[in-house]
Amino acid sequence: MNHKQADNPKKCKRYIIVTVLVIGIISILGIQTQPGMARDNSRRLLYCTGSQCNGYLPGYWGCDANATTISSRYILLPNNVGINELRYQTNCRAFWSRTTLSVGGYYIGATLDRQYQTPDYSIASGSPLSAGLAVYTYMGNSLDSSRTCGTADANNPVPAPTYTNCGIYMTKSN
Amino acid sequence: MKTTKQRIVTILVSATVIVCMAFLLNFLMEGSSAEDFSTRSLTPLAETLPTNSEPEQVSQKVLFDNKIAEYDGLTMEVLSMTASGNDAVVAVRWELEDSRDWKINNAILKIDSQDYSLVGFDLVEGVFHYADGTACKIDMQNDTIKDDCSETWLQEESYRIDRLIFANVPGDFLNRSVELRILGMTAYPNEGEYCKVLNINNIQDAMQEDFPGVELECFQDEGLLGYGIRQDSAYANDNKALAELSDYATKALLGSKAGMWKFDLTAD
Repeated sequence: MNHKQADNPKKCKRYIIVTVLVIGIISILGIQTQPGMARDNSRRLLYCTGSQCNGYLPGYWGCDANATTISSRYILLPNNVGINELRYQTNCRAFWSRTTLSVGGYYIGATLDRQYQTPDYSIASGSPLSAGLAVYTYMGNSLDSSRTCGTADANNPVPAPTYTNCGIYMTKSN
Repeated sequence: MKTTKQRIVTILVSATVIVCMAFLLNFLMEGSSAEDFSTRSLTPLAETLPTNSEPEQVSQKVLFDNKIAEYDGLTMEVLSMTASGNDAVVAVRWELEDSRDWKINNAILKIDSQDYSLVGFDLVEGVFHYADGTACKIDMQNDTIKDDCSETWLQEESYRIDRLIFANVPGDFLNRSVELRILGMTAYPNEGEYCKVLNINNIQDAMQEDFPGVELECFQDEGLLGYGIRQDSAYANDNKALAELSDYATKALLGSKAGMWKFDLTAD
């Protein structure tokens, strides 16, 4: 009886140790199931998908990697001073808009115009920028029809949102 | 009392294990669904240019059979030319040199003796090989994206078919003398690679000879990709230093390929 009494605390300790270990291991593995994340075994990165990406910058979830420009409009004033791009990423299933200056000395702004959703995502520079600088918007679900818009202005900041030099609306199929 | 303690501990452990197993199961299901997405069945490449989003006012479309030009090892082919409202839309298939996001940035459509500048482009389809070794085919159908990512696409050459748009052309341009000249393409870094590609330290070293002590910075966050001279350093507002920095930066950032891919698109 005394022997059993001495054993019980040991068993309790064992239970506690095993429990802590199991919880630790499962936590490390299970952390990737948080909302807003998915896992792609081919590249071992976490990323958001579809509406989970709404309102995030593409770099936050690594969606900028492997992005493709699927629509663009040059900013002609009348010379070409920059480009608006509708950027798309297959794993994230998300769009965003990017405006890049090819000539220095302009304010720029970009808008992801989401046809049936609000808000549209916009960004504008607060000062004139040099050539090679760019602004880009938050991401939106690619199931929502979207287009890129943006412009440049030599004298004044570009309003945000802006709906000039827009491309065509595009949508990801279900 | 001792037995009760044991039971409580056992129940607690069991409950914990059940909860953890649920988490693990959820995790495995997430993993497999992501894997399903990346290994979906393949769609064969279309033999001809797929139907695309042509605005409703499209009146005429000319298909070309063998309009191919090669320059500096890069082949381009004009597939069709369409009158779309006031625009001329030319579908061009071209090879991609590497995994960067290349785009045609300089093209002129010459109608009779008048030049019309490129105002933009929309992707029709493409096979893209990415820097991480993956590949996808993206296919636009009526402005709807169908994509398929699989290692199989690594066996295909990477290419794009773009609809190049030229605005405010004469309505009867399909019956006139038409020549397309593609003069160059460019590649700009992905948002997360901007500072890596710019390599601001290299530029800072190169500028020391002309501007000793100049300190540069690069930023790629909060929706802004940029570079500049540190405000607290010498030359912060020196126009010559800024101009030299801009030259270095654009060379570092923008991949470029110049050429002349010329096509006579005049109707026979």
